Parts: sequence; C-alpha cells; structure tokens
Amino acid sequence: MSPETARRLRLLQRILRHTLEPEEYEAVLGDLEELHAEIERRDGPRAAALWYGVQILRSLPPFLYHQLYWRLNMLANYLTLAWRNMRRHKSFALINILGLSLGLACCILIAFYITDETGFDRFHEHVDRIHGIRGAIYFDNAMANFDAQPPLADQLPALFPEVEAAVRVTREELVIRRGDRTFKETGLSTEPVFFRIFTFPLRQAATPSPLREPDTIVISPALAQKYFAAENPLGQTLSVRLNDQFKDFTVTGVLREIPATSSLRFDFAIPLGQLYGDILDQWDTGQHLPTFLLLKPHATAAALEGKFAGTVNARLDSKDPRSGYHLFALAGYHLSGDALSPVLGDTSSPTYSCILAGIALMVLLIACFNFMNLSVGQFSFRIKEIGLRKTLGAGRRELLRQFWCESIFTCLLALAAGSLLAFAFRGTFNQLAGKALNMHVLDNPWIWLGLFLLALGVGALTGSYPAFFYARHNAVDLFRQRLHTLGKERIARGLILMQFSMSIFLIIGTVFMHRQYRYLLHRELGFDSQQVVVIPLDDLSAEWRRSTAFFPTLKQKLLARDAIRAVSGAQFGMSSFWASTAPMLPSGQRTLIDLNWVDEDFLKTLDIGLVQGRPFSRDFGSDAGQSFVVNERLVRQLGLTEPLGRQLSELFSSGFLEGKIVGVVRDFHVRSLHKTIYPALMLPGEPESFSQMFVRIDGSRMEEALAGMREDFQAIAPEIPFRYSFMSDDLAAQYSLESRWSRIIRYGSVFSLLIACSGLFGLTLLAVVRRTKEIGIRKVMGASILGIIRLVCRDFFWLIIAANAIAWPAAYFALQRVLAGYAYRPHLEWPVFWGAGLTALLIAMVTVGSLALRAGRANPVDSLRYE
Amino acid sequence: MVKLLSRAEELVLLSVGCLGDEAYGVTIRNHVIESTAEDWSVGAIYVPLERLAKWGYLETVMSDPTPERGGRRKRFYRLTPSGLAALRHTREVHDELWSRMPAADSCPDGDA
Repeated sequence: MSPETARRLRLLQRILRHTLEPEEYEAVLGDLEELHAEIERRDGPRAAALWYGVQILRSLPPFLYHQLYWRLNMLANYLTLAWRNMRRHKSFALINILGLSLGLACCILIAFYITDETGFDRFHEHVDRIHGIRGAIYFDNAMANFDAQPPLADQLPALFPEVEAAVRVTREELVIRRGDRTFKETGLSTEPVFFRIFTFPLRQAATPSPLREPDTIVISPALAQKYFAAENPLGQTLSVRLNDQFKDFTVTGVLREIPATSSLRFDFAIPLGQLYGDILDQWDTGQHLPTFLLLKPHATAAALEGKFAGTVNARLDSKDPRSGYHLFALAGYHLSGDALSPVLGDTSSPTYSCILAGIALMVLLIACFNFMNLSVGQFSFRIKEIGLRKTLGAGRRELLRQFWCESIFTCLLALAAGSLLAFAFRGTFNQLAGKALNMHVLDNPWIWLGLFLLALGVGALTGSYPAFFYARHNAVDLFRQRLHTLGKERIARGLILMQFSMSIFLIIGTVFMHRQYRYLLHRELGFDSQQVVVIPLDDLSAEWRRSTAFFPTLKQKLLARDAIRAVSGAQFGMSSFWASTAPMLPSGQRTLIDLNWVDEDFLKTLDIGLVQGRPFSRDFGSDAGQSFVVNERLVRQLGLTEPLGRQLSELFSSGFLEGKIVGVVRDFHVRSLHKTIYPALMLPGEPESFSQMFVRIDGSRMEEALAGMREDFQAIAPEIPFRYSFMSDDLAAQYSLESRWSRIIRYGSVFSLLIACSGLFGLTLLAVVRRTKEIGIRKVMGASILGIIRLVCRDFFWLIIAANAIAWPAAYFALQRVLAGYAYRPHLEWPVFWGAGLTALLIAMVTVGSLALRAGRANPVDSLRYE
Repeated sequence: MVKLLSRAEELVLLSVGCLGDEAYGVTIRNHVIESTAEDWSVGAIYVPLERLAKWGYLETVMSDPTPERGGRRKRFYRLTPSGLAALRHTREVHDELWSRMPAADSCPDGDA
C-alpha cells in the first residue's frame, strides 16, 4: 500500500482499533492488507484503496455490535460481583450507601432550591423586557430611594421610542366584605395595561380588558374560593373599604393560580384611579408610585437610562449629579438581594444559594471519601479475588472497568435511596428554606437528568481511587499482601484529613450562625419589647379616626383596665423604618436623622431610659409641635454640650422642624441590627396620624388583657377586624433569615459529622480486623487494654488534630465575610474554634475507641486461633 | 448444552472445518464467498468468528509475522470438539425439520 493511501486510511484504522481487542485488530488489519494487495495487483491502486475504505465502513456496525455485546455481558458479571460483595460486607455497604444517599439527598434538595431561585419571574412572556424604574437622591452621607413621580408613566412612552408601555402598580391592604365575610386582603391597584406587560392569565373573564371600568375588580382563585365558594364570581359584587366607606366593585375576572416563583403576589387588583385619581398628573406632591416599563424588543435598559439625564431627571429636586432615575430588570430582581420595590416581594441573595450548594457538596464529598477509603480498605477481603483476576489475564482496563462499575452501581443505588429521602423530607426542607418545591419528575425532567449525571460522575470519580489502587499493584504483591501499610497510605490519610476539616468547618459555622442569631434576638435594644402588644390602626383612615377621636377614646378605655399598664402610639412602628430626613448641618454636611411622631407615654410604655430633661407632657401646652426628644447619638453627632432647650433651627436648617430639645434618651435601635443606630428625633404627634398603638400589658394576666383589648376595640370600630401582634415577635421576624440559616447549616454539620464518623468507624473496623492477630500477640506479651486503644487510635488522633489546622483559618475567613453584613455581631472567639475541634475529636475518638476497646478486651486465645 | 447456531455462525464454522490448518480471516472469507456467491465484508466474517471463539467452538493461534501483511500476524482458527458437536446439533435440527415437511411437489402452489 502506498504511504499516501495508508495515511488517508489512518482515521478509519484508529476507529477500528478502539472497537476491537488488540489481537483481533492485528488479525483484521493483516487480512485487510493482504486482500488489498491482491486487489491492487488486479484492479490498480485506486480501486484497492476504495475497496479498503468501504470494507472498514461496512465492518464497523458488526464490530460495534460485537463489542457492545461482550461489554454488556461483562457488565452483568461486574454487577453480580458488586452485589455479592455488598451482601458479604453489609456494614460497609450500609455506611457507603447511607452516606452517599444523604449526600445526594442534600444535593437534590439544593438543586431544586437553586433552580427555583434562579427561575423567579421567568413565567412572564416578556420577562426580559420588563424593568422597574426607581429614583435616587444623594446627600453627602446618605442616599434616599423612592418610586417614580406619578406622571412619569404617561411621559415615558411619549418621550422615548424604546418604551412600549408603562404601568403604575401600588400594593394595597384593604378590607373586603361580602355578606357576613369581612377580611383584610392584600392586592394591587393598577391600570389595564398591567395585564399586557405582565403575564397573569385570567381563568375567567367578563371583558377582554379588565380594570378598564372604574368599579371593577379582578380576584385570585383563593379569593374567589373564600368569598364565593362554589358560585360563579363573574358579575357578582364585592365591597371594598376605600377611604372609610365600603364601595361596591363588580368582579370582571378571576386569575389563574399565580406561580410560586412570582415576585409579584396579589389577591385582587382594582383600578388605580380609585385611590390615586387626583395625583396621577401631579409631579410634586411628594407621593410616588411604583412604575414598571415594557421596553421594545431590542431596546436596552442602559441606553434608555443614558437618556434620562436632562429629561426626566430634571424633575427631581437635587443638585447632586448622581441623583436620577434608574432601571432594574425584573428578571434579576429576586436574586438582587435588595428589596427595591414595595410591590415586589422579598428578594434573596445569591450568596445563600452558594452557601447551600457548598454545604451540600461538602456532605457529598465526605460521603465520597468514605466510599473511596472503605473500598480500598477492604482490600484484605478482596485480595484473592483481584489477584486471581489478574493472574487469569484481567488487564488494567478490566480492573478499572470493574471498579467503576461497582462504584457507579453503588451511587445509583444511593441516588435511588437519596431521591426517596429527599422526597420524604421535602416538607421539612420547604419549611426550613421557605419554599414550596414539589420536585415532581414530570415538572422538572432536566434537574433529574442532571442529578442522574451527577450520580454517574460521582460514581466514576469515587471508583477511580480504588480502581487505580488495585490496578497499580501486581498480582504477586496482592497475593503476598504486601500492602500492610494502608493506614499510612497517603491518599487515604489525606481524605480523612479533608473529611474532618470540612466537618469542623461546618461545626464552627453552625455555632457562629447560631450565636449571631441569639445575639440579634437578645441584644439589649435600648427599649423593652416584652409584653408589648401592637395594634395596627391603619385599617382605619385618619379622617375617621379624627372624627371619632378613636385613639384617645381607646387609650382611655384600655387604661381603665387593671391588666394594662401603659398605652402609647406612634406614626411608625419599632420593627419598620421610621421616616428620615437629611438636614444640612452648619458645617455644610448633611446627616441622616430618623424621625417619628409619638405620644407622651411613648418612653414610658417602651421603657426607654431618659438621660436628661423630660418626656413630652400634656401639662406643657407648648409641647405640641414645639419640642423634641432626641437620642444621645444625635447629641454626639451635633457635638452639643448643653442640649436641653436648644432650638433646632440653630442647629441645622430644616424646613419643617421647629422647636427645642426637651429631653435626651439613651440610644435605642430603631432599625434592625443589620444597621447601626442613627441620630433619632421624636416629635409629639397628632393621635390621628398614629399607625400603631402600643399596649404594655401585665404578663401574668395576658388572656384578660387581650380579651379586654378586643372588646374595647370592637366597641368603637365594630366593622373592622381586630388584629394584634406582640412586639417581640415582630422584632424577631426581622431575623427570620438568620434563624433559617442557622438551622440549615446546623443540619449540614450534623450530617457531615455523622457521615465522617461512620467512615471512621468502618476504617477502624477494617484496621482492627486486619490487626486481630497483632493485637492478640501484644496482649499475650503483656500489653494493657489502654495500650491497645492507644495503638488503634493514635493515627486518627493526629489526623483530626491536623484537620483543625485547615478548618480554623478557612472558617475564620468565611465567617468574617458572612458576618461583615452585620453592624452588630459577637466577636469571633477562639473558644468556639477549639471547642468545635474538640467536639469532632471527642466524637471521633468515641467511635474509634469503642471498637478499639472491644478488640482490646477480646481474649487473645480467640484471636490467635483465628483462621 | 450446545447452542443452536445462526446461519452465519454455521457457515463460518463449516468453512473453518473445511479449511483445516489453513483457516484464517482471508481464507475463511474467500471460502464463504465462494460457497454462498455473496459478498461478505471482513467484519461480517470476524464477528461470528470471535463469538464462536469466545464460546469455545473454535480455538485460536496467532502465527508468526508475515511480510506481505505489513508485518502483522495471522489469527488461525481450528474447530474444537464442542464446535463440531454444535455443528452436528444444528444439522440434526435441520434434518428433523426437513423430514417432517411433506414432499416438495405436494406443496400448494403460490409463493413457491
């Protein structure tokens, strides 16, 4: 054959080589060459080369089939072996499968969690074109964010060709009544174009464009069920309380179920004009409405934002060049970690997905390492089998394949068990993570496929260490058991080291997350939230409350009861943001100040310590609107030496704050502990402006107090459902995220330690079995039980000590980053670090020690007679 | 228990038996082509050959390298007693079936 022809055919030959055993390949190629030479003589080189190529191509299908046939035959053989091997060593199989299935179950749950997180709002047809618009005004030390000025939604599509449509959406909590059913519901007020921009299909609709008529309402299936049960809601009326009067609305549409992955959640939608009709064309009322844009298909948000300068930004009252309107994409909203919009729900940070994935991977890795160590560790049981296979001609390839088969088989079993586990515990997980994952195969085929591939990958990876271990040693070594030094096997020790590093890392993380949460809950806030009941008043309008003197009447009635100690009210609650202002200081700087309008018993009810001066009082007629109580931070920030009696107008220029300081209180936390304390200023407020009433009750007579409150409330406002909450609960709810994370990471660390220790248990079991005779002889020679225990434990002891050296710095840096998000946090204290290390060491030593004790106490006669 | 051979296996096995000591890929293929008057690819010959070898119906020997094959060795095949038994068994099955069939001229007309 000419060299040129040979080169052309090399690719085909190479394919052939991979489908055939070496001897077959040689014979086939030889035959082909021989025939080729003959044809070349007879018909010339071109015809011969063509024949050669055609022959190979025609031969490939039967060869491939042949190969597959024998591979499958072998596979069945390997699986039988793996199965028998598992049954013979049940404890190891159990450790492996339980560990791996726990690890995989964690991965399954996390995979669903992450898919859910990243898939938020994706169900909107135009999700990539929907953007929210927000404004920002910058001060020297602070920035304020707000929604769009109302007329902007009308202006934007006219001004900029890239804007296809704009809609104003506000979130409303309104009382809805039908017959004897009266509930407070959460919904939206918006414009008809809303249903064109967002994809919220209607299950039933009376008109093609709902909300076009002023007195119409669209409701969710839940609301339809609640108010209409089996009746058809279309065309029926619901009474909605707007501005203190029930007004009838006709139901013109019922939504389909809103997907759980929607940031926008609502139970009803009414026309925007009902509540905001008079401000829709007003720029400067100070009222802002959340606004969303639908961009044209190829327009970009960045380009549009660039055009805002000099046009819509000119409407903002700010000289700072950074101030202006900006856009945020709906698609990225959920994972932005910043709750930017009052109509969209909570966001979450991608950090949490990363932490969760990290924990799940660690648990899985620890289980994988167990499998690797145990299957290599079982060599003493399998040495004869492997040696025999090698002697009978099993090559490296066959051994590798066998071990891979075994590990992949184990992993698939574990995946099946893990799926069942994940499925069984999905309720618990949903509760922990605050999700509603259903995990059905049909709904999420790609995730399950991915998980199947993950299990295959884990199996392949895990099998490679034992496979290469056995393939490396020759048959003679294996028969002579020249591998006594397994405990000293560097890889095995490295794996144990990593397992325990990860476990200790997670324990440290658990302790600190828990401490952080406890710290947030129990930190001295500067006021006493225990036994304070909060009654929201904003179900009732200010006008109505003024006309009925609601607040003073209720307060008076409540104070007449024995079980009630004190009553106060404020415009803003203690677990929500206060108002803030950023007045100009004489130095030319602006500083952010928290503001609240409160009544004279505010300090007393919440037990806020007074440092100087006095609280507001009715006895001082001048107090109304003329006097302030400030916190110490404000005194310090302004550098006042003699704060009492100072006129605010001398201190800084603020248009609306007029009066003098009458009292100074200790600093207390207005914002959640994620933030520092800002200067705060309290003004005497009009009772009708109060949104909340605070009632300090006698803790021992709680039932009585609550019943009394309900009675008094209903006596004045019988139409309004009475609602209340405990202030301490409201405050704790600010830290639900921390509570959740502290619990999730606790599960992770318990699993990881459990799996790591079960692996250690298996390894010790192997070591003890292998050294039965050695231990027997040592005992005959006079070794004590303690000496035997020390002998068995020694190696592991030092490994776990060394694991701390890796875990501590890693945990330190990780925690520093995580805890950096808190303005208030406990120190990273060393006792926690060595405490975690000690815990891991103790648990591990108990595991190992119990086995060692059993080995040590065995009668040497039994062990020496063994065989 | 002897397996019933497929047609390809039977042809290949018979050819190996006929060729005696000269049975290797090229000669076997030529023999099969001659006797069936159909074109058989190299792969179509080797797959049944190797399968029969794995079942133990054929034994294989690698020859010394020969220059006309690019220095590659030949793989010679020889019929084993169990291979012969399998051939006999297959033939018996055939004969049994033939014997039960009525005489060819009494078959109804049609597809014949």
